[in-house]
Amino acid sequence: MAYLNNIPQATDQKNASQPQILENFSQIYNVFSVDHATFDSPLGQGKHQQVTFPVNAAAAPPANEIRMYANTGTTGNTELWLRTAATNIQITSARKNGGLGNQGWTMTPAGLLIKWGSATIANDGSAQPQTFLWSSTPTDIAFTTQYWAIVQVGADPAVPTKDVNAIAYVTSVATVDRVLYNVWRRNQQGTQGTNLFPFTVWVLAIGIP
Amino acid sequence: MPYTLNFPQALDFMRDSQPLMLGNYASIFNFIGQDHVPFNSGGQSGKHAQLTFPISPQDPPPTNEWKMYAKSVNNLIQIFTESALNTVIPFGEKNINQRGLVSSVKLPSGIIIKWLEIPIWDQGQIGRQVVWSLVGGDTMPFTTQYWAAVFLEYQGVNPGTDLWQYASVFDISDPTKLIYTQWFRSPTILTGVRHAAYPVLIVAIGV
Repeated sequence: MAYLNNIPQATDQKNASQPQILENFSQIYNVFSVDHATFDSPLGQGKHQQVTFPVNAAAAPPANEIRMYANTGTTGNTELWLRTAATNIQITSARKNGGLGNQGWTMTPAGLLIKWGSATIANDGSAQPQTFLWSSTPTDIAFTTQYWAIVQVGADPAVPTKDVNAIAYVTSVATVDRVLYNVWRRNQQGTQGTNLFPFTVWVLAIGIP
Repeated sequence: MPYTLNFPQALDFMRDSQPLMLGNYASIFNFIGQDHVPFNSGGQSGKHAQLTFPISPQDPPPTNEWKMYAKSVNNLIQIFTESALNTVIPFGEKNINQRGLVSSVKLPSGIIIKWLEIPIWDQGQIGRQVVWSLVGGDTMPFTTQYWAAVFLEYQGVNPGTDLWQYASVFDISDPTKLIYTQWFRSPTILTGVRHAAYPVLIVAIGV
């Protein structure tokens, strides 16, 4: 049987209503026992032992409320989402990837998107600015606004004593799919570095999707 | 009056059922009144005004759903999420420490961000290491380290000695440590005479 939300009616016979009422009390008990501290529980009836989110078929509609729900995230996995008055935020989403030449990202509950990455470049410092492009695969989230970024030149494990003063300066984060930066290179003698070997840049940026 | 199941039965008298029904309706009303917007609230009934989580003794069994619950770990009550992939993540675990000790935060995505400020008392060196587990307060060890950056904190430069101060990431392939280089250079000598202690600022990302 199922919960009957329109009984008993005025003309119903008592012997007809009795099993319906019995069933409804049973259904109420069973439904409220899901996730909640159930009736008469010493934990406090109505409190939430846990909250379970079945996967939504669509994003929650805009409302002047905070809603939490489960839906498919950018990575294709089921993620936990927050719907604020303004936007939907994949609060548990991340691309967990990194290391040399790779990129990753994570969302925060505030709606901020943090991206990181590294790249190997072969440049003697004469071509400025350099460009670091953010990955745009289907499992990535793009910035709609990029607020902040840093770029650091990594030490070259293969040639650790050359161009030890290579420093990168961010020049622009205005274009959301890239970070522009200049590289300033000096060797141990304080002149323009001559190291033409590839070296690594490590990039971190903060924005919103 | 407790909530009563298995009633009314077919042979029950109304005078017996009536107080039980009254009690059950009161229980339902009180139940909904906890955490939920109560009955008769202009279409808002049933929504959650808040969520109160009694402490769960253990993680819930895995299902193809998302769950949120409270658990006590090391006498600290935290909100946890359990994903459809059965990954349990503290919802915002953090460990904030003072200078010289590592601080960390775990985001709901499972990403850990660590930061650390340590003083440096010697001259340039290649392959200096921060072994995370040996840095006091590191309660969230990386299993994989994705990204890191190292900076020297400006402490004032003595002209002619330490004109350039520089630190950079060398190797993060071992999640238990961060290896970096640090250099102090002058215009005239390869290694500058350290003018002061140059604290190193480190930030790292991993899981």
